[in-house]
Amino acid sequence: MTGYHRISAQALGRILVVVMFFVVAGLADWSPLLAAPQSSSESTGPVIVGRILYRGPVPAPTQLAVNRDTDVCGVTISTASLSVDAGTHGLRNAVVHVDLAAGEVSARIVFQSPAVVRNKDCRFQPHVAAAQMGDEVQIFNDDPVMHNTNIIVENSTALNVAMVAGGNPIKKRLKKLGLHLVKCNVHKFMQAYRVVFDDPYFDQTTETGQFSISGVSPGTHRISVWHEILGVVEKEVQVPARGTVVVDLEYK
Amino acid sequence: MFTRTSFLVVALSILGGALLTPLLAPEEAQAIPAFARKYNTNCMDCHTAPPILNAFGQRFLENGYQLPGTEDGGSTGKKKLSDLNLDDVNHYLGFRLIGNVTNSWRFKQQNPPGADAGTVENKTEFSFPNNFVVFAGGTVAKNVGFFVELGHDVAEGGAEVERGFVTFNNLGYRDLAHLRVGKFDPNTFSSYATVRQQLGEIGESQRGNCTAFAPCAFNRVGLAPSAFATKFYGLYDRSGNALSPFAASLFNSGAETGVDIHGRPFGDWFLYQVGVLNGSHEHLSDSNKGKDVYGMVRFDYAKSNFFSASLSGFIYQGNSNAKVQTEEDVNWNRYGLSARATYMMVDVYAAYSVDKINKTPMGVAGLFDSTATGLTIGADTYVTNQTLVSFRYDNLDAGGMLDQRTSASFIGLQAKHFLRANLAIFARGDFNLRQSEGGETAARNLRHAFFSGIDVVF
Amino acid sequence: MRIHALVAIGASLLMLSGASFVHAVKPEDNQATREKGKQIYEHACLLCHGVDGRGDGPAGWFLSRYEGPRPRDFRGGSYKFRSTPSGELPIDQDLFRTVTQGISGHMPPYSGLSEEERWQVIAYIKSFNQGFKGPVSIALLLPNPPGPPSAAGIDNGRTVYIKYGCQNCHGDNGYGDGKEALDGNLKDTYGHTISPGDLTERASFKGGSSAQAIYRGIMTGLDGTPMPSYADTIGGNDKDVWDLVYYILSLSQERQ
Ligand SMILES: [Cu+2]
Repeated sequence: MTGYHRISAQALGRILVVVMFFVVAGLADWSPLLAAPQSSSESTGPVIVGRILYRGPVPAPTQLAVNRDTDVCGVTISTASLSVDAGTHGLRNAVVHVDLAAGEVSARIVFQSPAVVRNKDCRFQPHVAAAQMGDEVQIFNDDPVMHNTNIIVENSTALNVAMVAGGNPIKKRLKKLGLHLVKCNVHKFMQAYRVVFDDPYFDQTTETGQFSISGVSPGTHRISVWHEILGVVEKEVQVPARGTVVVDLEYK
Repeated sequence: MFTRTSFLVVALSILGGALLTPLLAPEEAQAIPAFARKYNTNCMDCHTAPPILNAFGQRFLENGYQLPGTEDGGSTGKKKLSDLNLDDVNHYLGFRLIGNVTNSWRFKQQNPPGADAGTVENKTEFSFPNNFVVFAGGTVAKNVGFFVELGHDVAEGGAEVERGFVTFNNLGYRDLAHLRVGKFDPNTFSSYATVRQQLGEIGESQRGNCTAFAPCAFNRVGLAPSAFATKFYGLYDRSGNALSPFAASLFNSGAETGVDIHGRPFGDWFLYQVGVLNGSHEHLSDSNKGKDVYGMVRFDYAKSNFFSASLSGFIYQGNSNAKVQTEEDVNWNRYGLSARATYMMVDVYAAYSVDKINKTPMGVAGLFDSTATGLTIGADTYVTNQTLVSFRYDNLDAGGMLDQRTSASFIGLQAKHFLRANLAIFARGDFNLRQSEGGETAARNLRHAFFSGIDVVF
Repeated sequence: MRIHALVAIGASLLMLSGASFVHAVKPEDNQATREKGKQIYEHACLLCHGVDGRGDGPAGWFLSRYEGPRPRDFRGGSYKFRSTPSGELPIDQDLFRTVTQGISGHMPPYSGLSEEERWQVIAYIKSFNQGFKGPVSIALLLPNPPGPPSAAGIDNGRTVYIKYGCQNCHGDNGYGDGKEALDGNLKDTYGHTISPGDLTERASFKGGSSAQAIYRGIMTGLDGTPMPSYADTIGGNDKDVWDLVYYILSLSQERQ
């Protein structure tokens, strides 16, 4: 009899755990919503603007041979991983991030538009993007051929989904931090990058290498810039209580 | 393409083997493809390069053919039929076909030995297969294992039980003691196991019709790892047959009858082994005398970074296990050290042993050096996923009768290409480093030797 | 979200129905259990998976030498054999299945450990990865086959095989000789070359060769490898997947 009682108590506990876990699981995806503080301070806070420069040699785009689906992908694919504006030397597709000061907690959470990975003309579009943890990643296949979107973060698979022609788009949450390498194993020339941060203090440079990041707390911060070919550069910057601070970084 | 060529080679070799008499001693066989079948896994779970074991394979062997950390001898892969626990036959039966398709020797033939300066001969033979081995190994029940090896020596004809023993494992508590009873290789668990080598023993060519208790000359020395070899000139078994200085013996003999116990009572870092044997060359009637005893300890480091290392020491105490030419008994002992380090593709190992005759018999006093040493250093490395390059250096500081003894140093190189995990072709060259020192002995007269062959397990 | 909820309800119902007897063997995941698991791990697992679970044990390199796959890195690496969506950690039952069955051609089955010992070692293995401390991943609903294979279904399975791009890696006839494999383009997440399964040889089905196991592999993908998850993109087109499963099974003969 005692055994019976014990088991039923455990079963009860188990139901409770399952229910709780259920609730937690339900909440997990929406936690950014619930936890989001108001971002009204944005207009008054300091803004960091600047330009990422590169004056080095810019190789001509490489032509990669396409080994399958040439009717859709074409015979060659041109890749320009290094895109520099001739007039300003501004570097496109660099990802700029302002590191939080030691011990500082991200002051706000904003809603980025969903991080989109579009399989189109046998390329991932966009080629580079930055996103925030918890953002939704949406993956589409616009091509009439099968792709897969294999996202790798530090030797482990963040997401590897088949993208059957005419299949459903994928909607998932970004759950990992850091550099996301996006590959297609069907077309080995397909490669893209996503950089995921756990705060909103990042931007991606425009065609002329410009970026703008707001909402950072005043004080000394480190700015780090990532580029797929050129790597990482960093710089310390003093951020005033309000107003605009201009920071240019150059890849030497 | 490869397969067709190999078939051709095999066919040619079998033909050649039938026509020509191979001179080589049988290669040892230890790889057990049956276990790969039983556990539905790969040879490389247990081997660095068959037949050499990696750390996992060593623990599997120590555990009596049960997975390390388990006592699965009565369960995994078994069919339970009432009170019977049976493996499928293919779960314990394995075959190994190994042989040199080509033996090429360059040595100074002495005919009769010592009578004239001799002429340098090049001798090439086709001799495949040298040896065909059937072996069965596995478990009959939880913690009860067995191993039987039936070697068919193609040269001599007939089949012989090379090794055969039963194991009782995990006596007392797990890894405290594992017992082996039967005819086994004493040097199974040390850092450098005698029969698990890439460049195995290649037998010598001894003159026939030698009289008992009289020196018997060699046409050609054998190529056995020096640390394991007999090392003495002028030692005889109890029937008066000369013992070859270049053949494996004592703790490293490859097969002896007796009982031994090993275990890791204090954890993975330490292994002990103690045993009692009928004695060296017992098939040549040594067993009527006192038993030989031995002990071995081994220290292990095997944790991570694809790295492992071990250091072993052993003592073998012989008891009237040989005679000198005056037919007086001697106690012939061996003290040895071996070590091994494995890091990713590189496997380096070495063994050093000192042999001692515990007292020089009166009859040969002053004529007999009672100490001899042997050093063997080996290394294997994978240069590609399928290609293994091996190196071996041997130095034998011979002992025994001062008028006969000749030390020897050899270097061996081998490239082995695994067409499949269980099918390899190899080419091996051995070079005599002391040939220039001259003298009318086989150890000097050998210039070099070349072998190429095939190794199949299935 | 709605599908997730349904799956969660299904999973929790399953857990509830199994609760009483699962409890009989599976020990609570506490310090004592992990301690016992550690002792088993050090004998049975460490030599390949390494003392810190990095998959760098002293015997681990030889499994595939310069190529992949290497032994699983328990700290951050992906788990191939799961019933959970791509990118997620496996549930305990997935780990239990792998420990029990082994991985054909790579890892021996540890059915020689008692069930309790297997759960203990799983508790220890999970302690290498902080992710297991978070919410438990929700397994995909893995239904039973809708019915026995039919000729028309197998024919459709062949069509699906091409539509899903299986031949790109596994080859037109399933020998594991697809173009991407022959060109050496298939790498695991560590950059090691790996080869796709030979679908004509059941012994090479690493996640198991039952219809359910193949279904599971297609739906969840094998994380850490190029094999993607098809669960989302085909969105409920179960019939096609089962036809594909039976087509794949038709490529290999049943052996005892
Ligand atoms: Cu693609």
